[in-house]
Amino acid sequence: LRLPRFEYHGPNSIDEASRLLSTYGNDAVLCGGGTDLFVRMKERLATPSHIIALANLPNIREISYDPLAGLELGTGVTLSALIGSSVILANYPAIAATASLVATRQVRNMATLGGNILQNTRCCYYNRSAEWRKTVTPCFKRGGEFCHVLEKGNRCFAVYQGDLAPLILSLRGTATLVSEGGAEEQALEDLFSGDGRSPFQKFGNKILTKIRIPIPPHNTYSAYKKFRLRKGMDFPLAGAAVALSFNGETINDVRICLTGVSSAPVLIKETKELALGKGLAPDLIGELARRAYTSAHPVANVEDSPSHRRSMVRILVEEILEGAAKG
Amino acid sequence: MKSHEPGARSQGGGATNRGKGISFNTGTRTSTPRPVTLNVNDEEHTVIVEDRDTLLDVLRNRLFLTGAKEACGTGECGTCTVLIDGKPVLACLTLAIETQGRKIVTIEGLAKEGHLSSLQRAFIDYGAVQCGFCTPGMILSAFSLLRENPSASREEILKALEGNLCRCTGYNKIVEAIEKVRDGKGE
Repeated sequence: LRLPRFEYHGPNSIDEASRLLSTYGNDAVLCGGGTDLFVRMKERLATPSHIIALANLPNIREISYDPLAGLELGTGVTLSALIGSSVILANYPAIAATASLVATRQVRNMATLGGNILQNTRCCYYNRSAEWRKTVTPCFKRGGEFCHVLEKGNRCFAVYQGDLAPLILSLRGTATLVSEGGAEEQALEDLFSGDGRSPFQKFGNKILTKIRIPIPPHNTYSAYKKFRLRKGMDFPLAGAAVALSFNGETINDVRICLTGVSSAPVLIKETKELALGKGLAPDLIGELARRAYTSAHPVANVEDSPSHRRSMVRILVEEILEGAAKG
Repeated sequence: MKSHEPGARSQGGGATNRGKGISFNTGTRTSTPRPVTLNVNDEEHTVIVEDRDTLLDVLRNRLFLTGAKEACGTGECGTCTVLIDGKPVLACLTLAIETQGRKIVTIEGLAKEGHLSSLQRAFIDYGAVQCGFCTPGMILSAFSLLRENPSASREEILKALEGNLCRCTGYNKIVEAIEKVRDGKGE
C-alpha cells in the first residue's frame, strides 16, 4: 500500500504551523505519529495535499509536573514516553497503565498523546479497503446521506475508541489550543462534537499543543479498563475510566467516563451527587455501574454485539470500583 | 556513503496501478523529490525520495534491504518492524524523510561479520521459524526487549510481541527461542 501524494511540512514554530494551516485550509492535516492518519490515507479515506508535522514544534514533547499546577503534557509526547515517565508513574500511574493498553509496542513508540486523543471515529462500514467500499452506498461518514448501521439514523454513529481521552476527562484534564492569535485553554470534553462524521470541533488554524491535568484531590483513586477481543493491539469495544476521591471513608467526588460506546467519550451525569458523603459499599457500586450501563448506547458498528458491549460497561465499572473499595 | 538514484528499480506498481478499475484520488500535489541521508545498519545512504515514501518503501525498493516485509501495510501485523534509535517501530507508517539523522537497524544489521546474532541462531535451532515472513519483525522486537530488559519474564516477552503476528507457529516456539537467549542458552 502506498500513501497518496502530498507535500510534507515540518514547521519549527507554532506561528509557522498556524500560518501553514491558514494558507492550506482544508487541504492540510496536522500529523503527530501518523499511526491513525497514514492508515486512513493508505485506504484513501483521507487524501490531504499537505501534511504538517508537529514533531519539530518547541516543547511539543515535554512532560512537566508542578506540585501545585499539576501535570502538563505536550501533545507530541509518545505513548511510550508516557509509560516510561517517572513523574507520571509516581503521580498519575493510571495514565501510564492506560497508555500501555493502547495498540502495540511499535505503535506506542510512534503514536502521540495528541493523535491518540484526536483519533478519528471508526465504523465497520468506513474503515475498509477502497475495493470493499465500492460495493456499498456511501454513508454519512463518506459524504453520503445514509447510515448502514442504523437505517433510520439521521447522523453518523461511527464510534470513538480512544483510550486516553476518557481517563484524562475523568481527571478533569484541559486542552490548550494555540494559534498566531494566542492560546486558549478549555475542558477536554469541549473538543468533541459528538457527531461520528466529524468528531471534533472545528479547530481552524488552532493547534492542540498541551494537555494539562490538575492535581487530583488528596486520596484519589483513578483507573481505566477496556474490553477487547484480544489481550493486545485491539481498540476498546467498551472502556471505562473512573476517578474517585475520598475524604476518609466517604466519597468526595466521582467521575466516570466511557469510551467505545458512542461518537465521543461519555461522561456519566450526576455521579457525584449520588455518591457524595457515602462509603463505597456494594449498593453504591451497583448503582454507579447501572448508571454507566444506562448511559451507554453502542450500535453494531464494530466487533461484538452492542448488548454485550453495553453489559461490559457495567462489569468494567464494577470491577474498577471494587478494586477501589479493596484499596 | 552510498548514493541511490531513484528509478533504479520499479517501486512495485504505485497507487495508480493498484486495484484495476478503481480510480484513487492520489492527491493533487506532487511534491518535489528531495535527497535524504539515512543511517541504516551503521551505513549512510543518500536517497532521493518523495514526501510520501515510507521508510519501508525506501528500505525495500531503493536499498534492497528486503528483510523488513510488507504484509498489512496498515500497522497491524508488525512484519515491517525496524528499530529507530533502538526502539521498534513500523516502517510502513514511518515517512522516510522523518528518519533523517536517526539510527535505523533492520534485520540485516543484526548479523556481524557473517555470524548470526544469538536470537537469529536460536530461532533456527529451536524451530521458531516456519514460513519466515514474520521472523525479521519478531527478532527485532525481541532484540529490543532483551536489550532493555535482559531478564524479561514470559509475560513481558508476550507483551513485547503483541505487535507481531505469526500465522504459522502458534507463538510457543518463538517465545521459547527468546527465553533460551535470555537464559544464555542461545548459542
